[in-house]
Amino acid sequence: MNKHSRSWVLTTVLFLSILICPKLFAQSPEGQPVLTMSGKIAVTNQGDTWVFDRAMLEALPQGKIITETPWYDEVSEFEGPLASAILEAVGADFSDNLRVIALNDYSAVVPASDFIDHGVILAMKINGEVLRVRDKGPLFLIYPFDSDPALKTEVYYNRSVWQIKAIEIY
Amino acid sequence: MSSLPHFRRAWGVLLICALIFLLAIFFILFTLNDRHQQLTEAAREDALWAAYQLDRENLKLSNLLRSYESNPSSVNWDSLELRFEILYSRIGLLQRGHIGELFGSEIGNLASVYQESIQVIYEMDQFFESGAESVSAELEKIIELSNRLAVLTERLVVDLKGLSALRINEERKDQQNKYLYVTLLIVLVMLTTGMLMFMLFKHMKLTANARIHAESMASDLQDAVVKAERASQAKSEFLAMMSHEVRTPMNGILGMASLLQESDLKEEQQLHIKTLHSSANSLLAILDDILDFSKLEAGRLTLESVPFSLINLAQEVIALFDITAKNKQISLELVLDDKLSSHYQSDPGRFRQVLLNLVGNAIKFTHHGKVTLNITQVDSDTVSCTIEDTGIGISPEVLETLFMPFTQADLSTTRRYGGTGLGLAISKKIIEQMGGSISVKSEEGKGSCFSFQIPLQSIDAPIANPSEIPKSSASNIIADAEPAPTRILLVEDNKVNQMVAVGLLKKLGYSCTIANNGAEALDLVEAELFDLILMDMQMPIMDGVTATKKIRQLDHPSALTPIIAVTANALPEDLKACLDAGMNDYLSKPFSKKDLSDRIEKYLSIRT
Repeated sequence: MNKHSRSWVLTTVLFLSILICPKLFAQSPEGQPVLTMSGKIAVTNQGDTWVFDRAMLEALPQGKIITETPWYDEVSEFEGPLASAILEAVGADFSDNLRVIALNDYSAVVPASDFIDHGVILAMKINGEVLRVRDKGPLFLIYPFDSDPALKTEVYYNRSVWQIKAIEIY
Repeated sequence: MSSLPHFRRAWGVLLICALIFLLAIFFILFTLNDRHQQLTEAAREDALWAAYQLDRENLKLSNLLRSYESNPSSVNWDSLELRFEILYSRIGLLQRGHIGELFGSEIGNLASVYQESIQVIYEMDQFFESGAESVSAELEKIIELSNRLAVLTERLVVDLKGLSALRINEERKDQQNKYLYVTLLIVLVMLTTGMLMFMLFKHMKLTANARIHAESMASDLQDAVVKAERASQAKSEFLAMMSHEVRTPMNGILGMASLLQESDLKEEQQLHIKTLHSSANSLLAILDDILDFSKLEAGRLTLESVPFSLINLAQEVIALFDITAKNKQISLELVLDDKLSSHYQSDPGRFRQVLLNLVGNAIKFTHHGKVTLNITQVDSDTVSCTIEDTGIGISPEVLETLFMPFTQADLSTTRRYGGTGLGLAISKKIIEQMGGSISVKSEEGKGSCFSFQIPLQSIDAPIANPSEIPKSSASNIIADAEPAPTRILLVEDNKVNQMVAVGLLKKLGYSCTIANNGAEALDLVEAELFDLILMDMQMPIMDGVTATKKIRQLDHPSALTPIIAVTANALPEDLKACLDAGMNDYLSKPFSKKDLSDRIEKYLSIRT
């Protein structure tokens, strides 16, 4: 709850900053586009969307989750930007729903509140190694399964989209 | 009742069965909800999905490769590489060892297909790793590999689908079996609980029957008790009546014997008469005992409550046995507590009877040594009397039944000492009716000690006994007065009793007129004024009570004549009937000469 309200304050501050000085944040991706944000977003840098390249994602607050998953035989260490930080960066509302889209156009609906409630990350590294496409990269939505048994269900496994290329907020 | 343990065992068995069945149901339901199986199912679907994806991704790559082949400029190398990367990423799922576990032994063929598919992708990867030039150069080879992969993945999808369907079918069958077992078990549980309920019902019915049986037995017992009480009552009443009936002729015998004794007889005849008299007296004593006991049994004994001097009473009792004790050469002592009050309120007659019985017994069974009567004030309203002797004692076996009626130490005792064996039973009953209790301690050969405690209300000053004062003054008056001819009317139907009464009266110096029944008496008193009427109770034509009532209603001076009932009816309600009818007093048959003279003197003196 505390975390939630803190995030709200943060969101509000970010939002105000964007209103005052949008140019500061309206940076364009310099490298290969990795993640495209669309839908109900407050800022854009490429048409109606906001595009992150690898460097931009690495610049956001990072998180680390060590957990067992159904996709790997052993406990693995995942690293990547906090999913909540990504949403905050584009001024998204945490009461909205997200459509998380994979490279093969597979998609899953995830409530934005999950990102705050469970401390979700979009993993870019596994055990220190960069996730390539063949390794379910570039982005893999990871819940901290081991810290909350309630997460070890089909619902959350299905929300854990890999090879993410875009997120649509609606 | 004997079926109860049997019931209990059956209950236990049924309960255990029901519990086992329930546990089995829970177990099966648990396995139905098995999480592992659910996960396995999900993983199997994942595997099928992965195979399908592999097939699809290969198709996409194949299409892109064909486009690239026909027009290399239309396809971006990056997108081609991305396609291959996505395809490559699908290997991961196929490589995972547990997919094999998911499908069991049927996987055998499939495993090689997997391996082959992976091998093909690795071969393709070698070209892609080398870069765009290598791919362009060996495009045909890559397309051929993709075609090969397409055949393999199609087979994979079809086979996995088939296996999955088979598994699902098996699992469904297994599940159906489990549901069948659960249903069966539920039926069994219902059966066992049904049986339990049935047994419970039966048991309740059984206990209800047992209770009804017990109740009917109790009521039978109650009936039996009532019958026995009624029989005992009848017996007591019969005894009372018989002894009463015997008293009337006894009266005649005693009276005649006394009269004979007074007459001129030879010495031998005198002795015979004396024996006759004493025998008759003994018989009378026994009759009195039986009568007393019958009354006590029938609950007809009513206690008086009059003031009396306990000390005087005790001294009288001791004085009575003084000669006997002296003759037997045993000492008779009376020990009185200083704290004793001068007067108490109770029934002195019954108190005397108890003391006479206990002291008499003590003297009777003591041949040397002494007998002591000790009376003490225990507390403000309880007096204790102890009669101790150095007599023959009582054996422990006999002590237990000592206070039962018709019981004596043993049969030889009866032969040696005589008596009805009713004395102690009567004493005990009297003491109990007075609210007290009696106990005995005895050692054979050393002596016995009877002691009883009764609540006795002490009173400060004795109320003057109205019957005593006139008596003493009466004798004075008689002594002073001129002997006047007294007219006595004797109302008596029995000829023997008439003779006895006339004889006794003659001895006392009175003459009398005789009426044979109440009706004759009524005629006589109307014609003549008598000084005293002696009235029998039971007579033909008109009984004593009726005659008395009629005399009292007369408009004649005779209506005031003192009437003394002469009766063998010693029961209190009979005496009450006499007094209620208007009689002044009563004489119990058989009466002594002294009794008669006392009564006559008392009423004649009042009249004068």
